Amino acid sequence: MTDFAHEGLDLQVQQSGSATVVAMRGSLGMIDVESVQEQLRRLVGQPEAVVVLDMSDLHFIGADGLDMLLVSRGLSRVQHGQIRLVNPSGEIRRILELTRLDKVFGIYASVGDALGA
Amino acid sequence: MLLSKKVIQSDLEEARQLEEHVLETVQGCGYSDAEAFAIKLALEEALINAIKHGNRYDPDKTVTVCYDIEPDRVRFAVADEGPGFALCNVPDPTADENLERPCGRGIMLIRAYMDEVSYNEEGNELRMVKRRVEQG
Repeated sequence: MTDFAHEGLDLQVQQSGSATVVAMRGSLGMIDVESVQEQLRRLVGQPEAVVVLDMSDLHFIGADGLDMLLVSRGLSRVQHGQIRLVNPSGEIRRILELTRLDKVFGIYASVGDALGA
Repeated sequence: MLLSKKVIQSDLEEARQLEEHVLETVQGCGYSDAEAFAIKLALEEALINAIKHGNRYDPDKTVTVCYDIEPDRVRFAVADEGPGFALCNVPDPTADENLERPCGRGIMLIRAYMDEVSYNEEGNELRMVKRRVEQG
């Protein structure tokens, strides 16, 4: 059972060649959005940056989190970069489909697929 | 009649603490992960909308949350002190022209995940219900 009452968010950032892989673990709740936005802003602010968001262990995201992804995508595009989403499972995938953001973001089955795209 | 009532400031940390308390109770009642996810999502969106769009972070305004957590269903009423809004004026975030706009998804997610959703006439009080599905 996921501890939705207390679970926070942990971000692991790794460089993989010219791309940055960000593993998102836990719940991206209302309190975390601002700090994650700031971290992503730094990453996508580089020219032609490719940022891979591994959502395999992400259990929760709300509308503010989705907005944060869209803002980051906009900043990335200004720098001719890309944001790629990896393996959003369960309810996260359902939310992306309900909001049709699965049509906006590139979604990949694995980090390897996203890096090789 | 709703059994519990909390009044919080227009503050996300206070909202998070209330959400934490509600989710502890919900999960303690044995609601499934999918149901707990839906309740967390809907309550979070309702609180953010009340604080951000309703009260506009005004520290002199409060958000009143009434809730009733039963083994078979959860009910909420979330009211802010803003002027309210008309649902028909909220653009469809899934329309092609709005897809990349970073706004407007909270209300549609509440409607997608809760079983009953309604507003008062002014549009500054949201009421919603999630029913528990019997586990086999």
